[in-house]
Amino acid sequence: MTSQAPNDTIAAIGTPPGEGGLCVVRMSGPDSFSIADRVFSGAGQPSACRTHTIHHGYVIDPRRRERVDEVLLSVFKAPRTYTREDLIEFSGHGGMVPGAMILDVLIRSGARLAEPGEFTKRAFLNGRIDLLQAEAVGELIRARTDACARAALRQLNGTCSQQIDEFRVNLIQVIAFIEVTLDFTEEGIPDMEPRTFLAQLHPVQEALDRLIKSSHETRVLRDGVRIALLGKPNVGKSSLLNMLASRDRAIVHPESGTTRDTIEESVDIRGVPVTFVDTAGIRMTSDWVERQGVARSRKELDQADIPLVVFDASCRPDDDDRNLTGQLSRRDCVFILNKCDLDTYDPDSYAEMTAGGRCVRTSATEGTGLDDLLESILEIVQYDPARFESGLVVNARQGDLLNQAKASLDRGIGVLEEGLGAEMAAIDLRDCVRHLGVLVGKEIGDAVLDHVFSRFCIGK
Amino acid sequence: MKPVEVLVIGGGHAGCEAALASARMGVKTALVTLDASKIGQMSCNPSIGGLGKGQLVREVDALGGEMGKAADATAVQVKMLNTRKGPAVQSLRSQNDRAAYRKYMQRVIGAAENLSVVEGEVTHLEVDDRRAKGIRTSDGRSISCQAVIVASGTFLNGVMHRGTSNAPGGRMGEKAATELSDSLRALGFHIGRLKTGTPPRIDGNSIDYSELEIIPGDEFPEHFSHERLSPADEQLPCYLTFTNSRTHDIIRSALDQSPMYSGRITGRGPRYCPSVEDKIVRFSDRDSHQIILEPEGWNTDEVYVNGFSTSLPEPVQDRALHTIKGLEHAEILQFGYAVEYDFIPPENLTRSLETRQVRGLFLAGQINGTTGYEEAAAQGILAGINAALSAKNRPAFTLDRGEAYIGVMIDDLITKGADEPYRMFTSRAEYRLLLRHDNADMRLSDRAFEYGVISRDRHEATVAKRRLVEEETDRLKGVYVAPDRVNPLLKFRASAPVSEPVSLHKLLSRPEIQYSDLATVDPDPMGYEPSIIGQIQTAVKYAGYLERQHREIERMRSWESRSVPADFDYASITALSHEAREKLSRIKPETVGQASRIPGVTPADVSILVVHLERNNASSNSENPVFHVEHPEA
Repeated sequence: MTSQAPNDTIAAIGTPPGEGGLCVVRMSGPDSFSIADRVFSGAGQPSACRTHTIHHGYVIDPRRRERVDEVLLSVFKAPRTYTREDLIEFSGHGGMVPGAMILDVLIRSGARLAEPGEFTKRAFLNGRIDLLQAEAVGELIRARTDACARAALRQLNGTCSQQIDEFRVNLIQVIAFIEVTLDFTEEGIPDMEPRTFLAQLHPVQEALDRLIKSSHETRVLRDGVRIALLGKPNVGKSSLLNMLASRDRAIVHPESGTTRDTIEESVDIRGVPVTFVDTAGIRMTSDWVERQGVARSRKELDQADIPLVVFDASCRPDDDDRNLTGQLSRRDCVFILNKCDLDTYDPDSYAEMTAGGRCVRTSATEGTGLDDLLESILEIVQYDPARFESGLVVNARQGDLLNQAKASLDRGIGVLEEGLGAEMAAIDLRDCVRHLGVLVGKEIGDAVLDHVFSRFCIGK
Repeated sequence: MKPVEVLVIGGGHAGCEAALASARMGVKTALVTLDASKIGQMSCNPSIGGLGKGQLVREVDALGGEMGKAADATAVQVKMLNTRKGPAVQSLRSQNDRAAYRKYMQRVIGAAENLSVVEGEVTHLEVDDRRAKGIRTSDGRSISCQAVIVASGTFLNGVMHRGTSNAPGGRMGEKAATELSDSLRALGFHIGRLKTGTPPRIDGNSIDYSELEIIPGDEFPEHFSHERLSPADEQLPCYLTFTNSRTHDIIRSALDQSPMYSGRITGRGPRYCPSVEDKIVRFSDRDSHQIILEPEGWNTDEVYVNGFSTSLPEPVQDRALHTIKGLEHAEILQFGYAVEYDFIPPENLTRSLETRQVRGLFLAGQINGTTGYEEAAAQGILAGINAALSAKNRPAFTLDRGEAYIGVMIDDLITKGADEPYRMFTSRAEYRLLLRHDNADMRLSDRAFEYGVISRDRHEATVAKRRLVEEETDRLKGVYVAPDRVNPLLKFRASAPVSEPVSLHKLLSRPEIQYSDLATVDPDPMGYEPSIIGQIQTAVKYAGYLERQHREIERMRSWESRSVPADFDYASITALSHEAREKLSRIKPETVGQASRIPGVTPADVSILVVHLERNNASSNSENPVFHVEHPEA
């Protein structure tokens, strides 16, 4: 219930799922304009625009500082709006992916994912919608909420919801123990140290972590893997991309430094959607245009799930190559020793630099080594069809709840580890139990006190 | 008899606070009791406060109440509990001189303006057009009034049990009020039954203290009340002992003679205040339970056996006690017993503790299903203030969950009812970092002054204190100290060193650093008194969490501001689940927020409720209905 208080800001995709020409993401609440100001780049700030006007611009991911989608932004200022709150609509390109990306940016900027029917509910709450529609919408909220709950339960297959419920029960137990040390210290029960609680919390934290990771892995199936092609100019990155995509997309030119922008190519590797991103060659350069490309390459590197580092193994490694691998030391990546068709090919001279990493020998011009490369990628993705099928499939709302639960748990554990008061940790742990409870449809209620009384002999 | 404006039935902890609060507000008040010499009696343990309860006492004091002053003035021992834990879960507890406490309260009540005491048994409530008009007593007297507060404690149809025998009565040696229950039932109130118990009192001269652990009071005792009435220089100790397997064997073999286990008592007792027979049955793996021997006062040898509440037959109590270390030759002065009494399920109440069925009728204390002196006093003072307001036709005084433990308790009672006697715990308060015993005056002063229950001087003193705390907390944010100046202190306190200048606020937020440490690095140290320093320290150490709790309270209040009409027809809303319909109709939540806290009412039910509330409101809304169509500004 508290998650639905009307003074926060909510966002959701307003158009039906599926392919369409247009996708509308709607945001309502007191922070709508401050959030829009942060994520919209156009002629003016949304908060400065007149109400009921439309503006062209881009949604910017403030973290990555890059454009997410080109949009038309509609400004509606309270009270003359659908919800009677400040309301913004982003009309972006069709299909669910741009919409989901805009929504993702809004949520990361402070909006909350709307509950089913919540915009309509706010419209009612604020006295906006006509009385004939009230009855029907009441039934609708009922139907949609129940359907969502049923769908959520279906999606969270038996094992997962059971697991989440186990987390809850474990956490309620820990909270009960904490409450005993706070509320019942006069009962002759020995005091418990924070490490006692931590010993019980750490396994839950790890298990919750694993669950979230497995939901990320599942997301790989849906959203794909992003792979950046990196390497100094003219080592054959664009040719590799062409080989992978089997068609000419990138401008391939023997003169060094031709690719000055990033180019993406999506292919399907045994069912896993993979997006390869070709980048401008990373090296020192004085050319301004090329410098822009190099900056983008660095950014691509930060965003990629897997970097593919390409070397021209027909030449000996130089400082640029070494700098590049120096930055990658800690990451999962694949080293490609390209140009194995040339006489001067000498992969051994790269052995020291690539030690510990996966190496693949290729010739982009002759198309050799492709299978080895795909195998290495799947190894890193750890694609196992059996595992994906049993994995936790979460929708955005469920993912949101899992992450919130995780954040609360981490905070509570942090409080205990720092030796701050258990009464603060109890707040975070209760938050965590509440988030998990929403996932499996259970409320915390008096569970903690019930546990205390059944477990401890309290009272005089 | 002469009419009064507010009439209070009962002279226990709820009745005393109710009568005094009403009289303090300038309303002519009468307190009717079975026995005026028992006014202010501590029926059970000789102690005030404790975890969760100490907060209630401070809140009563902040509302101008008497309990904190009486406890300070008659304390034989004072202890701050949980000092190793954070400020939000610390509480004060005092051991008190039972007779002195009673006499203190009787003296205050005797001296109060606008307050008279009447001895007698109230048998009837006079109600006219669903409005309380007065009472009648068993000897035929009647008193007319504008508001009545029933604070009957365990006396309402009280039956005392010990072994296989039972007798009507509200307290040992005192009669019960039997007819008032019938009068309430006739007015349409549902009557339930609860149970509580009390342990034996023994003669201190017969106790061998030589091998028992001493529990002393605090070296520097604090006070409940802002008036800081000084307790005596000395304090009396308590003593710690334990039951053992022999004790348990004796009790176990006599369970068939326990009224609890033989089915003679049907009322439900509290899980957290179990009888010793309960402890032994429910926690059969434990071969020992803690017993605390508490002195009953300065001038008495009587000792209270805390932890040994029982209703077993006298010979069994005797034999069982004699197995306990130090009590081998103990002489029992008064045997333990259980008492069953009537209560009215509190879902019938509004937030001001007025009944829905009868206007001007207020209920406070155990009649609402609570247990404990502090819970009773807290309801008493709220009911007293509201009865006086009702008599003057002024709007009610209510407290919400974000303001006070009193608000938490009343919301719990009216929303969830009382399946067992309700006792306060700090864990019941979701905003407990904000609702501390140390800031009760700062939290409640504005409201208390607004309703005229505290003086202007007292209010202004609190406002000044609040300002000092804010100013100093702000100052700490602005004063930065260099690493070379602060690192020696950090090293001394085993706290990680810093490499950049750091604000005093940031330093104090570290668990290892106390406010007093700052003086060594503060270029301009302030010499505040301990109570201010405590507030500053708490404000800094809880900072992020306090802000979060404030935000959550704002959200909670936005739902509390949506009221639900008392006559709302839930039965006709078919979209509600069956359970929600039943519970909402019974509990009749005053607000959407309260509805959402009823166990079994789901968020979907709340959404539907809101939709229907809006539909009702929309009838009076003249604006044209528009569904998601917007027009640019003309």
